[in-house]
Amino acid sequence: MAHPYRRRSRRKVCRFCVNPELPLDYKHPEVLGQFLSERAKIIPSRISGNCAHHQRLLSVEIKRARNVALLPFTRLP
Amino acid sequence: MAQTWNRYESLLLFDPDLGTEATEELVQRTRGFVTNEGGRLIKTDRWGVRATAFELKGRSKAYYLLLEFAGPIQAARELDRRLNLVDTVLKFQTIKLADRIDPDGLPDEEDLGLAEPAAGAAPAGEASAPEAPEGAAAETGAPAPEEKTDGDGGA
Repeated sequence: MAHPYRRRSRRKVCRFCVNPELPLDYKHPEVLGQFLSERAKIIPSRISGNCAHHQRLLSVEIKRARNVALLPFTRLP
Repeated sequence: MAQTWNRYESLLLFDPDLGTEATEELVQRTRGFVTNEGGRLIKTDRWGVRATAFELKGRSKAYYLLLEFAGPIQAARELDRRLNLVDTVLKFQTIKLADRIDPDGLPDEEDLGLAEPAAGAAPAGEASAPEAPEGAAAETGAPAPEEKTDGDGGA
């Protein structure tokens, strides 16, 4: 039996592996924005569940989107 | 072949207060920067005026223009150099989409979002929607392994 205080966690999956249709591209800030924290920092794959490959691509695309003001560098909560 | 051709993509941010004619003139001038250096335009996509994520030179909006083109490296370099000289260009970013492409196998030129405001507003409205993966994916296709040639320029 599971420990009474341990929360059962849902298994995390890489959303880009599960759905290859999901665009991983700096021109889609609405997708990339889902991987930003409240302060517009990139959410670690440890939390988001992304695989290493897609997390690497994601971080590059987020930085590109920031350069052209599609995503913020920082944001006040 | 004398020169190797690459495929590039540039996203340009113009001053939103220019007016329709001046903006279109600037779009045509920018297209000229590419073609004058032996480049070939593949796609011109006018996203139109949309809100920026942060203030750029005191403005919270910008006119977005996406140019996809192919050409020798000089075409991309010359475009970046020229854009730096135009002060109504707020920012731009050029990305290399593919290396050493065959110039004969290029698709035909596309010119999108011209003149009518409805078409110009469409991409912006789609982008601001919280979840539109299917439609958005069909529009651009899979992201290619790219290499960045130049960071933000006109700042």
